[in-house]
Amino acid sequence: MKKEDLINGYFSNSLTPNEEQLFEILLAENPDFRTQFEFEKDLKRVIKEKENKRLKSKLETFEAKIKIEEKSDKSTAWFNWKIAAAILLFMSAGWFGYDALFGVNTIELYTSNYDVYPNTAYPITRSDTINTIEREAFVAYESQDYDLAITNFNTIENPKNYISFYKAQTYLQLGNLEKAKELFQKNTNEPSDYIGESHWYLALIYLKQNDKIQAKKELKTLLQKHRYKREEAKKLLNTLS
Amino acid sequence: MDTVDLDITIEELQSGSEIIYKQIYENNRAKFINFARRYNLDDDDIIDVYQDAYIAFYTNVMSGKLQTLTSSISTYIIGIGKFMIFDVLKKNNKMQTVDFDISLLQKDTKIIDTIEIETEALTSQQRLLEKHFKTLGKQCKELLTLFYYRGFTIKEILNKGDYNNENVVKSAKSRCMKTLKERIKLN
Repeated sequence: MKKEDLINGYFSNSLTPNEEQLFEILLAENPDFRTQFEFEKDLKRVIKEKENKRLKSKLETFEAKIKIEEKSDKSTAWFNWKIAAAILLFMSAGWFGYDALFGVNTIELYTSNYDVYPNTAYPITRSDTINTIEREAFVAYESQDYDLAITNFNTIENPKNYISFYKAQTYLQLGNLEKAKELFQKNTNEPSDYIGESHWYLALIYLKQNDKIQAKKELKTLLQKHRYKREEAKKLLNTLS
Repeated sequence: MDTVDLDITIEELQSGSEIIYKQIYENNRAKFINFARRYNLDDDDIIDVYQDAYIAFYTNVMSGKLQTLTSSISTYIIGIGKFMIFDVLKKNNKMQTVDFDISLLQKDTKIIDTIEIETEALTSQQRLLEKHFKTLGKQCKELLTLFYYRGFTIKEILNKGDYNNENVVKSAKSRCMKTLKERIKLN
């Protein structure tokens, strides 16, 4: 078989096991063969890049169209929303009660704002050599086995600074608000990547405990010093004020 | 037949119909944005990642790397997107370890194992190649794209009907590469 055919076969994924073996040998021992192969590999990458750019500009045009449609949808939605709000106000103002219209249901606010924080700290790798307690803890966390997660988080020796944040998340999932609160507070006072995030979750815990004053305090700190969940925090603070 | 979303088959995807691809883009966009907001990225960044994930999916279909769909198209795009979001977070220093295996995160499917994702930028040698590839004639560009991007064999290129026999395809391909090498040398 000619060398050219071997390289062609490689790129069209059609080498037999024997040919593959020959290909590997040539690659290791024949510099000309290797140079030619590297050239074609680069060529493949370049063509792919070119096609990707072409597609990207096509997607930009799809995107531009969607944005224009969204804009016009928004103005209609806003219009309908005003009517709906007016009708609701009119219909319910009679006996629906003070709480429903002017009061704030903090539990509902908690539920609608709460999401468990995704694992962004510890990417789970396949390698068994790093099968540590920390890894097991995050595997459990991702599979929502919070009982196992907390056991593992608590047994990590020399935990890194993000562990307390994920421990707090886990306690929150398990319904242990006090423990979660304590850890989030600790987290806001220590060097951590998750200070803003901790203020946000503290605010949510206070909401769940119907402590609007503390919840507002946490939201204000979050808005003053951090970027996390800015829009949501502003909205929530407005609702509470 | 490999039918998943909206009865779209892999063959239909490979035919490269713009209508189908536009529909896929629109149908999965809101779902992706919703998913990606959990990671606290700006909407502009999310759209950027969505497009890159979409392109990676498209490339894998077009190159024949993905020959069967074992999950819905949105599972593929979100799976790839998750991988890319982690890459963004890693670059922003929110990640600790280096290599990661998405198939464990994406426990229900092993889709990432079957997908090839480029995250590296072009090398200077590749950029030079890119510059001169653009100057090749239409026929050369088409031939090389069919071979390297679409993963067609010499025989499949012959079957498309522009050449008389396999040797003609092969020598045309060699000539195109020779021209390319000469132009790079003259650079």
